[in-house]
Amino acid sequence: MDNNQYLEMFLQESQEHIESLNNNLLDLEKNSNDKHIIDEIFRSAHTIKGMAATMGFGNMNKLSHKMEDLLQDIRNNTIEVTDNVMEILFKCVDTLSEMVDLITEKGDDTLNVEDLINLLDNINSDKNEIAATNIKVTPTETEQDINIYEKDIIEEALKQGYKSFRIKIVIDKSCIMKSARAFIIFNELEKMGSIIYSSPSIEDIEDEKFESEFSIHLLSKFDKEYIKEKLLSISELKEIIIEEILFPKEMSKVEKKENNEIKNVQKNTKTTKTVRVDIERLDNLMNLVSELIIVKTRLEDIESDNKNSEKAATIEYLERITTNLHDAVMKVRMVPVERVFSRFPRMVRDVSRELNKKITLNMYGEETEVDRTIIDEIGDPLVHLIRNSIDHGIETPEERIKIKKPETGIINLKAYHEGNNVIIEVSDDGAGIDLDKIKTKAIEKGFMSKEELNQISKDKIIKILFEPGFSTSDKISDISGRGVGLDVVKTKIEALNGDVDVITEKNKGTKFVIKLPLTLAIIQALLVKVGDEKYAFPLNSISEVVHKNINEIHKVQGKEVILYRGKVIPLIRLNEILEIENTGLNVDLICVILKKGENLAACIIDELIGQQEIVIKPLGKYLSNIKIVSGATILGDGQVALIIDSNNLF
Amino acid sequence: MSLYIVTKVEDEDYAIEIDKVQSIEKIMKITRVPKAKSYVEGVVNIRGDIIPIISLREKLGFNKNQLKDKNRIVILKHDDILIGIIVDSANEIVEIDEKNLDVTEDNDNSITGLNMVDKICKIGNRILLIVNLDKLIS
Repeated sequence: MDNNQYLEMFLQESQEHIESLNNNLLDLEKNSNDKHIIDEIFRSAHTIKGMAATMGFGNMNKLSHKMEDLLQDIRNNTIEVTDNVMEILFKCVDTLSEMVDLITEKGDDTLNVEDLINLLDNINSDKNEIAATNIKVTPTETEQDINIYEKDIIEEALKQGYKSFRIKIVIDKSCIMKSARAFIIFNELEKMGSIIYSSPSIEDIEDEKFESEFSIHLLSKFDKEYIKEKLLSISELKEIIIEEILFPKEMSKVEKKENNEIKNVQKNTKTTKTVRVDIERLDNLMNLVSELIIVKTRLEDIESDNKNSEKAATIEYLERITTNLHDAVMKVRMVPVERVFSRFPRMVRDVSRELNKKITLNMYGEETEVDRTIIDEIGDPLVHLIRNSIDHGIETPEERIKIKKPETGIINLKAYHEGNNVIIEVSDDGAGIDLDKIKTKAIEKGFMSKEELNQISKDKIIKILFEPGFSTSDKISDISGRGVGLDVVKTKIEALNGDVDVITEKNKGTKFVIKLPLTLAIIQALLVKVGDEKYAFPLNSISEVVHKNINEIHKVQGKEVILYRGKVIPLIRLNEILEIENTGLNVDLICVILKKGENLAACIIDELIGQQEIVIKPLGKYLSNIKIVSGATILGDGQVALIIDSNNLF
Repeated sequence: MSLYIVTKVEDEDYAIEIDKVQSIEKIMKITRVPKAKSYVEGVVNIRGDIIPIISLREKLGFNKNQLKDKNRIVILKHDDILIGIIVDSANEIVEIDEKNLDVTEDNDNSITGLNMVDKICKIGNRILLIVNLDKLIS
């Protein structure tokens, strides 16, 4: 069988299961007695095992199998969920994740798992015998072989309106692939309900360690006839015996079942109507919409010199449709920030343990949607910020008790929409940023002199944190403090046309606020002319356009400046930066006031063309070293205009 | 045997593997890119893609020429990079037998200038210079 076409699906699903394993393990750590969580974990591990076996990834199959054994023991209450057990389970998940990465890269899962498997075996060793005998018991149609755990489930299920069936299946002797046949049966049954017990065990059946018959305990809402009919559609089965098991006591409860309980069950099994789409196809669709917008702009241009009302109305209609289409495609490309957030609970747990700190991570607004292109980029900056909070922000439990704070620190991760932006906040209730420490370090590292530091505002001092090569941490730890963190965060966010801000108060905590545009593909821009060339400025980098007289240019320390709203701001002669010859002396200057955070600069241009919706296209790898240009766009007439990256102008 | 497109620069024949050629375009308005290397003519829009355009002339060490209507832009795709090179003309395809290829041991670049050519092929009394795309697009 050609597995290639399934490989991608396998990888994707494995990743999802690993993610859910991670989340559920974190939950389990908090309530180690919750049966539902253990069930979830077991299910994920089981699915991974099954998939890995089908795809022929032996190592992965082996590891998840062992993991499943351990989980089974936890389910049966033969093993307690201790710290040690949790640690091993986390390690298993990490290793599985590594294997998935390896498979993605190289196509195989060769990873040394002996140590881990030994650990698993050690835990299991005491229980193995019991477990083994448990499995080998031949089924009798009584309740005795249903252990306590299963009884619990059955009772719970009966309350929720499920029926309990004992199904015995005999496969035809002539059947060649018994386990495959069994697999189909299991699949079919799982569609109708859940299998809580099978004899021989599912593993043994998969390995063909059974003669020709096996029995299953199924919980299902369907009736006996329906199940039988479904099973009869599977070929090569010799005999099917279905028997409903009634528990007299529970039955009376079943009748009293509440409607809302049924709803609960339905909610759990609800399948959302979604389609998986290859990202490339979406990008392609987006490109086509971009093209359409360009053509539309072109039509509008032609239209402006041509007065024909019917044609104008049609073009207006076209404009409305393209705008709607653009919105619709944008929405399709939006993904919830949960995609990035989901890895943080695990990270916070691991890092805080490493540093012996107690930290609770709260996440809000995981459902907030952002364009896919942005999602892929914000992961690293957020990791930096959260690690920073854990390492520098939150104090050790002892210190916290000393200053009468709750022993456990809190990190809040919050995402929400604000206008055309997405805001992501990372805040902690830790020590806050020590301004004096920044000052001392800044002098030490020669960023600024003492005199300069005394003159600038508190906010500006905090901004020094984002300078390359600056770190206030006294000791260089593994977590952060290499002085690369915050400037990387800043560069990355700015590259996305976003902005980072810090608010901090001593002993109260620190808050980093990241502001990002909703999308990077299509923006509003101001088109200008410098000499004969057309350029575009992203509208969100412009504060205003003003006219100035040539006499209003002053010189400060040899640099040209102008007064703007009572502030002295630098003047940029764009034609010089762009190496365009000056077309002559103008008395009236058109200045585009650019903003970069709180800094402003006036940029002289020759002519304003107007505001326009533009589609951003990358300049490509070959020209990636050109810093003042962030991309290009195609104008209505098919020509290319470059987009100025004002962050690199001043 | 493989096919090559023959382009002309200063009456010399430069051959490019046909597999790498995406299209040949007539000369169009090229948007200058400030701060780029001098051989970068700028960028153009070809069916929605922004493609950098470089001058093969300048890369080969000839003087820059005013672009004329007969100039052509050969769009190449090499190592996932789309790039256009301006040539004087491009209107011939030849079949070259690899056996006829002489690899130039031209380490001091005395014959072929800036090291953009690594193989030479003789067909009759014609000499075709085979462009090394790795070096051209680096």
